[in-house]
Amino acid sequence: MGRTVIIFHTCIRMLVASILIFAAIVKAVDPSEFQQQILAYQIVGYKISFFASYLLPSLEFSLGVGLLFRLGYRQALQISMFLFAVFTIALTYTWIAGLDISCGCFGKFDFVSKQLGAIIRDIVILIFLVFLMKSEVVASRNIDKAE
Amino acid sequence: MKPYYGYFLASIFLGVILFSFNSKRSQYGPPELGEFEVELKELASELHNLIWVDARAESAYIEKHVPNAILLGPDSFEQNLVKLLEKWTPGIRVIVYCDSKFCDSSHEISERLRNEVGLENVWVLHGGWKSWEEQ
Repeated sequence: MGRTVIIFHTCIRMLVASILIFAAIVKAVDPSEFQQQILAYQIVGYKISFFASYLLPSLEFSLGVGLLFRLGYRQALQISMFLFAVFTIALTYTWIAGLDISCGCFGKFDFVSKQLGAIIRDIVILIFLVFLMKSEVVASRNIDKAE
Repeated sequence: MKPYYGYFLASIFLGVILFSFNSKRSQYGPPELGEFEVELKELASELHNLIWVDARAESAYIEKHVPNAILLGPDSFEQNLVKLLEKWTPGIRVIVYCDSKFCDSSHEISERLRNEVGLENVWVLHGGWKSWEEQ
């Protein structure tokens, strides 16, 4: 990889990690509000939303730290991709169903109020994650070849 | 495989810490009725003697709504308020609803009707449109 690509790669990695950590902290501050936002999707009930309101911010935080410090990096990328794919599908469902809800992605700090904006944002993050994953695969192949 | 376990164990550990040290805990079961909220079953005997106010988006209203409901969302409040006032008579109960029990627009509209317009007997349907559809 060239120097420019490495810098771009690092910036994207930092950005995605920061987004995950910020989203986790915002949700962790007020789990009860996050639970209401999960319930508003009308996909899961109280019991699942109760556990999700604690486990999702925790998972996002772990993944953010993993991406930031490259801890279990490839697995962090895979789980993050899965997570954002689920978010995108859930948001698309609410959008199609015509539900008038906020994304809940960043709690009160979410500047995107409409589902369509949040869907586009999630897809962009998903593209970033795919780019990071692809770079990682290419880098590990090059190391294998060099060895 | 180990990093996968690591992430899930770390998440459970952090989740337990989050639950233990947070005052704004989420609930395992449904909440009780809030202030100015009313359940549909309470209204069963007077369904035709109410003014229904739909605080959802216009597209949702056009698709389906409670019979004779007036569209009065945050975006159409000034525009459609006259329609409500034309129907309103002293003592009549006004019931505002939005999508489900977790949307805010019904509470926002009912507060505006009480505070800005000065109407009394304005209530929010607990469970919103979803509860109406499930009846």
